[in-house]
Amino acid sequence: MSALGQLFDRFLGRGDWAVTVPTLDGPLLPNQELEDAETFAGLAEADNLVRTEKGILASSANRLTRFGAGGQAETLQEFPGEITALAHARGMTAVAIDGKGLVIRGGLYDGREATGDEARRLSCITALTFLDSNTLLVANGSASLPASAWRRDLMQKNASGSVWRLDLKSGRLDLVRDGLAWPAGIATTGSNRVYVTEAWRHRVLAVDLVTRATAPALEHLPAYPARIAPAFNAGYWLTFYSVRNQLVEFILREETFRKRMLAEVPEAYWMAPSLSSWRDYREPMQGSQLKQMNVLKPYAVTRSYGLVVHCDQNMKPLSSFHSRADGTVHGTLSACETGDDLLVASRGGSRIVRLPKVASGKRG
Amino acid sequence: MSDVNIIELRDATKAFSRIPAFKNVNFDLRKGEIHALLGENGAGKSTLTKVMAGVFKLTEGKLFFDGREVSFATPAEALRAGIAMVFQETNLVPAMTVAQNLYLGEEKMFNRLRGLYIQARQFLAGMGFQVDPTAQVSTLGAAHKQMVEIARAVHHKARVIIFDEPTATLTPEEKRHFFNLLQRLVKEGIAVIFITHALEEALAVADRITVMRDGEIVASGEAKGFTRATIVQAMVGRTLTETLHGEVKRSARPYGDKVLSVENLSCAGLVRNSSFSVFSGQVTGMFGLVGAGRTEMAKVVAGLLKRNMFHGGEIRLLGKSVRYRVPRPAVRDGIVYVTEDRKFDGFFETMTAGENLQIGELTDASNPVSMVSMSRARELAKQWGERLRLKSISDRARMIELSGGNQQKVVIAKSLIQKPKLVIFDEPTRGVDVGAIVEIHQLISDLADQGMAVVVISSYLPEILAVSDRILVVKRGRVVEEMMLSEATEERVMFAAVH
Repeated sequence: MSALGQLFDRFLGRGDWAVTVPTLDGPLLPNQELEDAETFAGLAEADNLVRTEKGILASSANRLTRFGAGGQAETLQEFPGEITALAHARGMTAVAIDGKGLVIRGGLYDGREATGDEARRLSCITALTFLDSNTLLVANGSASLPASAWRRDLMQKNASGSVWRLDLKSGRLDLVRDGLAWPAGIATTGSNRVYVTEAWRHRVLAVDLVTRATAPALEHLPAYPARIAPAFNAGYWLTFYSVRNQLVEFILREETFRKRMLAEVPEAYWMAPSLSSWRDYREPMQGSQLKQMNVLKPYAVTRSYGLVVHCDQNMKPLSSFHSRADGTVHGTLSACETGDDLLVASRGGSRIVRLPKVASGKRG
Repeated sequence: MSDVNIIELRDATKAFSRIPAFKNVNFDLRKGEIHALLGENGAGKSTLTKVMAGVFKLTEGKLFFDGREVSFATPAEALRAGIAMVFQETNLVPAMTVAQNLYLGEEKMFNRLRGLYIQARQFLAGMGFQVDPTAQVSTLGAAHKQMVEIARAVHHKARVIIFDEPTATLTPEEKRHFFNLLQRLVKEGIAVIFITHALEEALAVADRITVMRDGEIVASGEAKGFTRATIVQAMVGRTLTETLHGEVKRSARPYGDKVLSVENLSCAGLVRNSSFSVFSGQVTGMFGLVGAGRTEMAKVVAGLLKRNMFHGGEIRLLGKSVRYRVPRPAVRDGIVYVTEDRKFDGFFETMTAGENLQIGELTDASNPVSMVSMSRARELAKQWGERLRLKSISDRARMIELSGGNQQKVVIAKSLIQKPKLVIFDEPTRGVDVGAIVEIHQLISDLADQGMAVVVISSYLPEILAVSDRILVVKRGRVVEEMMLSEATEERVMFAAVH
């Protein structure tokens, strides 16, 4: 589009400058399923759920925890930094450590680490998945910020994320795709194609590992997509940081305000998406977020939200589970199936919740 | 109600080009009664009443008014005698105000507009109609236009008032006002003929009911002697599967691909920051009271109305942002809007069905032929006539000569001929008889089964529940509620629409 056209769009609030947000409707119609779900286990900053032969692995800051079927927790190891991603296959667990790289525990490459100079390019690992026994796919959210600075990356409007292929045998690191706006999830499809979420562009990309061709598989999402987990029907569970709202979209377009906010306001009080809210009275509020009779309206505009979407093999949304503005199961960044149930880690709610019979298709 | 007849037709026949619209009909209307006239589209109801109102003259037979044989040359003559007719589609002067329309034909040499408005305001208030007498008619919605028509008939102090589908455009509350008004008219000794397709209304308000089929009276008698089932059977001559009233249970179709995404749409004060999506392979019902902004939302999507210039929101068709200034590019992209006001926006009334259909075909960008061909028009009329069971008097019949239901079928066919991806039906069965309603509903269902994205806008709740897989409720220019068919009840939908 011409510069004049851009100027018109900016003036009239159209096209790229339209401060609009897609609605949560159809298969994304809000419900209270996440909020009503039973608590499987309490875990501070619960994140990164992975199913293994011996139970469910989860991360909590720098601790790697394993849960048995009944929810009993066992701390396996503490790492020198926050665990930002986990993957497990054939007895091997890959653990990503914020700002440091990744380590392999168990299996064929037990003890292998990519934490030195070679891993400088992988300082912000947001997602991992095994392509095969020798190859790991790595999503690196940003080239300049650690994974914990995801809000800063969004508000700085960066697009320096990348996807890499790591050969565990040789240690060779191949770039698959760069220039991504915070790739936060990655999933294999059984072919050369992989799905990658691009959080700040609100979409899921299908990336061909051979040709490197990229095409959007799911676009114009009303929320910031995070990780992707395989689902029972050859489909996927798509998790989200939070939902988009018009005020944040507006601030992202108001350069002067945005820059001043980043420079002058403490990060906790930015008008930006969050994994939890209402823990501090100084947090920013929006018009319809005000409480009435001391009750927060469930449909209020919110900075934090809980959302897990069930998609088919082509990434078409089929159903969804929500925790709305008045809930606490927010910041649901990771999900995994166990038997007929779906476990969802709520980082904002500091717990893992269980949605029974969801993974067998009997619910949802 | 008295036993004295005010209007009587004896062995009456009316033919157009030797083809009878009705034949050997014997009909009587008693003083101070409400007489419901029912029948499928094309049964001859409108023609029968138009003979009484002086629009047409009888081909054979006799018409008696107040015991005297009459033959009205013009509607004005019938009106002078005391017979007024409120037509199915309003016949108001759009450029004039409500008050000017109300007193049309009674103008004096020097008119005092202020006095006229005060007089009109009092008159309308007396009838319980909330219409601004100073408003220009072209700015009114269909329901308000209908109210002005009714008020005009009442104002002429007619002894017989014929209403052709008076309630089709009214909300439930407005209908209640209208029925109260009918009772008042009857108490004053005025006789009312009431053509309707809403059988419940006929059963509720009429003293006597007459059912017509194929130009003949097939049943007539006291209203209490009829039930819904007997009326339907008399009308169509067969037992009808009453899908309209939810007697056939069905499950909702699953979501297809997102075809349309409307984000924070605003259009003047009519549509306010509204967002919704439409999916393929589904019928999305849009319910709301008259004036809720449903039609305006649909018109912005289809390029008939422009959204706000500043921050008017986004519309995405299959993920691509679109902005139509006129309908043609929308049609080219696969969006068609089937209008609620077919008389004004739906067809060319002096052309035949085939010619109207060919206009639809000419709009299709993929069609390389852009020449008008009479043989092609006839071919289209035959092809779509069979598909939609179009009943017309002859191949050369102009649209104006067709019944309301058949006109609607032509309007729908004209839209479908453009091979759309998204069809928006706005009040698709307004002024359409029960038989045609079932056929149109079946057609809508078939379109969704074929994978098309279908939106049905309706003020008639049973219709929304009968056809929709997913229901959006609109209130004050905004989609305020969404529910799947399995969750939807009349109470829940109506609650969302009014609270």
